[in-house]
Amino acid sequence: MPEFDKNAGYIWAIVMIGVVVPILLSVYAALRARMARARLERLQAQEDDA
Amino acid sequence: MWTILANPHRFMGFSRVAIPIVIGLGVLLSGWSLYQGLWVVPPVPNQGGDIARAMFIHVPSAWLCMGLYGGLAVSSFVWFIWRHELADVAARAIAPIGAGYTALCFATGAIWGEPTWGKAWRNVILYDSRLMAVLVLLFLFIGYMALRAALDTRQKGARAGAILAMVGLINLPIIKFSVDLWKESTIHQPSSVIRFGEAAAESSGIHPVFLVPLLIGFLGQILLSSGLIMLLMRAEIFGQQADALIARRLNEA
Amino acid sequence: MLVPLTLGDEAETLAKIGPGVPWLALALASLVTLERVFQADLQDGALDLWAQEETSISLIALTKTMAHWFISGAPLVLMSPVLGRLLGVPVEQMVPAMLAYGMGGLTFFLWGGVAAALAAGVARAGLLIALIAIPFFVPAIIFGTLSLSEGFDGSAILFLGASTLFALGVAPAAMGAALRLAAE
Repeated sequence: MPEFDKNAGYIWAIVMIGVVVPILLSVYAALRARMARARLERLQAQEDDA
Repeated sequence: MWTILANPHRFMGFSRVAIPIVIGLGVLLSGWSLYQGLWVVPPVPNQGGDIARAMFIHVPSAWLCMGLYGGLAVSSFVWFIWRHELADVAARAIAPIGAGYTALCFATGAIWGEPTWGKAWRNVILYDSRLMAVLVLLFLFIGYMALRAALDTRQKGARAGAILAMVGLINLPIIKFSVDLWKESTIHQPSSVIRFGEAAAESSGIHPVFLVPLLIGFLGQILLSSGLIMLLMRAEIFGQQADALIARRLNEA
Repeated sequence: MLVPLTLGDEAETLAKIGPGVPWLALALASLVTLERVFQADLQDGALDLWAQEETSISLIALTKTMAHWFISGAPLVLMSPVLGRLLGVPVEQMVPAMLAYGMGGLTFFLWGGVAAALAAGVARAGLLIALIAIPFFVPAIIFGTLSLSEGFDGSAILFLGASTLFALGVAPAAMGAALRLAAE
């Protein structure tokens, strides 16, 4: 890990935010897509049974 | 190419293939940019030393969040005039991603401001016109999402949201102008990409060692956010198809 | 967000705080009562009637907004000189100040009206309306606060006038579109 000067805390804080936010957004998007798809397939399966 | 954008079915087919590629590429480019910023690039003495590395995260997010709002407004406009359903799907998808990046930009900007300007955190917001503008942008995104969520039918939500997005867009220059006027002597870095640091030998004023990772990082984030937006659009379309199924069933019953 | 903007960056003396208070009061006056402005019409079915009338619904919305402004906002503007005297504000500053508060306040009510129209039909929409409206208040607050310190000498009051005219042009149209939507 690189050694930074006195502002190291700030830099890492910014990096953390910069990495975590896109990850959170990705998880959110992936979950929504997955759940929506599962719901659709469940409904379609009911159709096929009926 | 337009059919991909206009036709939901073709969009679904396209996005299934495109999303992993776009996201993968985006992560790769962003990762490289971050690596450059943290390990390879030298600290800038007259810009606070190592803290200047924050630009690799803060600056692309600033460009991106503004661009995303533009995308929101354009999608809203396209939907409002031509009623392309995919345009509304896009608008709904852009909003949370835009909000996320705006929050990211604001938080990183505020944190960057404290050691650079030596002001306590809350004063940073007051002293910088750009950060204030970003905060306003955040409110615009959140207001848009809240409005759409509050209205009961999707149609109403879409139309109200479109009105809000368009009113927001035409107000945005005024807001930006007023906020710049508020702090004429903003201590924020003026046009960072144009004039930057003492290594400004190049015509663009910023040394390639900084500029290249910055632009690559920006490109990476564009790709990543586009992938996420497409993903959210798929979620939305699945939802609409499911609702249509249910509606059809109710009709037949 | 409104508070730092109205207080300015060094809010130590009362004279500095004083001029900011009417802005807060005006903003709140508009937001607090805004919810009810169109809600009742929606419930009565008055909106449906309007949608069928030949009179432009935007014009009706504008009229309602002006009425709301005269009842809730204008009194505050008229009272501001009194407050100013109490805080020791010199008389020459009164006229431009009242003008500034007047225009800024009107802008609040106009954009607030747009937010209320968009949120018409939503139960307990107060917070939503405030959330939507606040970004649009910002230019008026900034130009207004600058006008107070510059008076007629500076350009801020001209910008305030321009943004108010802009709001007068855009807001009724947006309200009309939003109300037509709510009437369906």
